[in-house]
Amino acid sequence: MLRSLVPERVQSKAVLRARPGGGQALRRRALEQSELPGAGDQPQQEPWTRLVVPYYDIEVLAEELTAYGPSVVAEEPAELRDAIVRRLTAVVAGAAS
Amino acid sequence: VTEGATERLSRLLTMVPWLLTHQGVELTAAASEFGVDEAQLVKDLELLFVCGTPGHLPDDLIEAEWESGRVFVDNADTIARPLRLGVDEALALVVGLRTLAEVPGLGERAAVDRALAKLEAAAGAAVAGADSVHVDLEAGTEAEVLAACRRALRDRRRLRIDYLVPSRDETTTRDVDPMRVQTVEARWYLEAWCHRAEAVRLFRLDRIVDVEVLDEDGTPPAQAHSRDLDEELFSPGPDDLVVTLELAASARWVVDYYPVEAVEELADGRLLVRLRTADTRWLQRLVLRLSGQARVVEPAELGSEVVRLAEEALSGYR
Repeated sequence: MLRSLVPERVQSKAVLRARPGGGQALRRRALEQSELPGAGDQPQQEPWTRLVVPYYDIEVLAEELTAYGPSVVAEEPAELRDAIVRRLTAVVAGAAS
Repeated sequence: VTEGATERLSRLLTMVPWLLTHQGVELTAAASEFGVDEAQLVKDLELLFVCGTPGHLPDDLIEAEWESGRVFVDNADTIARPLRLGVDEALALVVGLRTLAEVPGLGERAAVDRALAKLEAAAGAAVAGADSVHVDLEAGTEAEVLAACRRALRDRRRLRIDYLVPSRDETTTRDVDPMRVQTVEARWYLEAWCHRAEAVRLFRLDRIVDVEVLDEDGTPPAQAHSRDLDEELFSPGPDDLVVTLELAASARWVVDYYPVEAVEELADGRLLVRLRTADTRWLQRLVLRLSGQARVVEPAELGSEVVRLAEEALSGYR
């Protein structure tokens, strides 16, 4: 509860893109938000949104983003993309076992 | 009705200094001072007799004597000493009480204000640091939401809220009649009658994206009963979907975190758990989040849906 008692951590920024209506909680804490005209799989529909969100731990953010499934795609950094791909691949592999 | 241990402890703690300054008081007078009968007072004294600082030497124990019908207490210096707070303790208390004083509909507001006034007077400049401590409650939209809830509760007005449900990744607009604002496990909740769900719902204040106090009466209907917040915030219903998950050893925390119906131990620390949910989207997100540490055993359609979502998500990275 006491903000001043939370130790300072190093903050990084991740760039994401979110489907129309997707990534609601991410939108709330995004540092930047902009529309991506023509992006996404169906350009004729509503545009996707580009989001810049702060994070402290890449695995914590990867875990959160994995839960969004196809609604949110990480663009940067590459380590974040790799972590999410690894997690999603494990979901597919785990179900087959 | 049995008395709570906390209640009895607080009586015992106030009893000792009082008895020390009223040596030889009659049992009946002491009993009425503390609002108990004589038998209870004797039980308290018997308990005090075996109390003291650790060490287990006879000298460490409080001496109480009441055989004559008059009470004498000795060797209780530790408990008799007035409560002394360190600067850090006083600071934490002041900040905590100020936060508590912000709670709308607080029943003991007068007591909080009195305690706060005494503490601030006694500690003086030592707790000036409390002013530079920011309580998160005052930060961002939450303060605005809290102020609106307080106003709606006071004026019995209906609220219109935009509420975010991250587990479903959706925001819904609901009209609600506020019942109370509560804090549970360090989170603030608005308990209200939700006209959309036609039931009592708990809303986390930090997930209320937008709030508007309406010009309508917000008296909750007669069937709106407060939930016992000591119970699980999340209680499954009988019509929910029954899901069986296999959890890896690293995902055993799920059992402590969500109410599960049945748990079976498998090899290598893995678990087979059965749970009920009305919300398959929540479950899909949980399994995705567990990133291979969980597998849907049943129903099979839910398992294939999670895999489909994962594959669709992967296609975004190719």
